[in-house]
Parts: sequence; C-alpha cells; structure tokens
Amino acid sequence: MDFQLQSDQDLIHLYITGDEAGLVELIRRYQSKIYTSIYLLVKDEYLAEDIFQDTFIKVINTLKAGKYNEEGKFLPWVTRIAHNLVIDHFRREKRAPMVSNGDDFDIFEVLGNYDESAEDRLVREQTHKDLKALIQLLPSEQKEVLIMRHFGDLSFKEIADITDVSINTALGRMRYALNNLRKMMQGKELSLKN
Amino acid sequence: MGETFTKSFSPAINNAEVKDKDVHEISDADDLIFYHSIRADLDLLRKKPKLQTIHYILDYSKSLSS
Repeated sequence: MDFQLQSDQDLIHLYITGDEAGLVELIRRYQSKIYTSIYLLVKDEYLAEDIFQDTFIKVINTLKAGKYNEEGKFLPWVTRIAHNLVIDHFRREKRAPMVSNGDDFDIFEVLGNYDESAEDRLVREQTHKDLKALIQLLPSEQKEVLIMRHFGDLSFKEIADITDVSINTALGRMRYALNNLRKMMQGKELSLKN
Repeated sequence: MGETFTKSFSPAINNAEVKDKDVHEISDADDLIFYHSIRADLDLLRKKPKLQTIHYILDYSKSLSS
C-alpha cells in the first residue's frame, strides 16, 4: 500500500484499527511543519523536541481512546495541541517567549546547497540567522500567526480558531508581522536576495 | 486596507485554502511582494525533530498496542 497517497483520515483510520504504519506516515507528513512551528515559538531545540513528543503522545492517547472527531482536520488539530502545550510551558515558566539569538540553529542542516562558494555560504548563513532573529523580535501574537500560517500551512480561519480571535484579527496580525519584518529588515539593510 | 488578495498570498495549495476561499485576506501590494520575497528564505528555516524523538513516539504507541 502506498501510504503517501492516503488521506489523513484514511491514515487515522488505519492507525485506530491497529496499523502503526498510519501513524508513521502522519508523522512523516507533518513532522517538519509541527516541529518548526514549535521550535520557532520556544526557541530551544531540546524544549521543542519535548513539546513535539508530548504533542504526539496526546495525539496517540486521543486516537487510541476513540475521541478524535475532527474529520479531515488533522494538522490544525495537532497544531492546536502543540500550541496549547507551548502556552502551558510559558505559563509554567511565567515568562513570555524570550528574544534570543541562540546559535543552536545549524543552517547547513537545512540549506542543502554545498555548491556555493564559502563566501556565499557565509553570507547566506548570516542572512538566515538575521531573518530568524528578526522573527523572534516580533510581538508574540504576530510571530505566532506568521509561524502558523507559513510553517503550519494553516488557514487564517484555523489560526483564528486556535488563537481564539476573529479572522480579521488574525489577518491584521499577519499584516503587522510582515510590516514589522520589512521595517526591521530595511533598518538592518538586510537583503534576502541570493 | 482597501486592497485584497486571496490565494496568491498562500505558498501552498491545500485544503485549507479551499475552505477559506470566501475569506478576503486584506493587505497591500507591498505586503504581498514582501511576503513573496521572503517565502523561500522562510522555508529554509524549516527543521525536523530528531529521529530519537520519533522513535520514542512510535515506541510509546506500540507499547499501548501490546
């Protein structure tokens, strides 16, 4: 069976009926979107791993208990669980997400472009570090919408549901996020043209 | 606030877009151009969890089945 052709709902059904391959494919399909969303919010690789793990443990427990009823909306559902766990974490820590320029992000892991010159690579690496740092400078509500929209591929309606705001508010936050990013990049004279 | 754009704002075709087809995404042309200019760079920030984490999750799941 080619699991890549199966719908999320089919994979969930497979998993619930005892085929672990359904879960394997769901994780393969969405691991990057969910993990990146968590990572960019918490800014800590180890914490992101923990929250990603806890997210899927909740997913598994819910599916196994037969309590999943969000047909066709697997990714928004998982993203909502992850988002709630991130919020729980910050509540426990009693602090807002910190602005940090941590160096734990290895751009070479994701660039995958080893043909460019060393100089080009350094420029590119620095540019992406800057972009990542600028995202972290956004107010948390704006950063959240940008991350869920871009990395989570969620619609504004889904983001609005998850963050408990109106669609217009979610849209407005995205606008402000883009505006603020653009202004910060202009201020830093940061160009993303390769 | 007067200008609108819809699907062009979205980098990927997915079912979420279809569901949102009646939602007008309000922005101006500068926002749209800017978003397109950084989209590829944002994509390069994508990361995956460690295999160890995936294995832990799958082992947990299997432990419930046995």
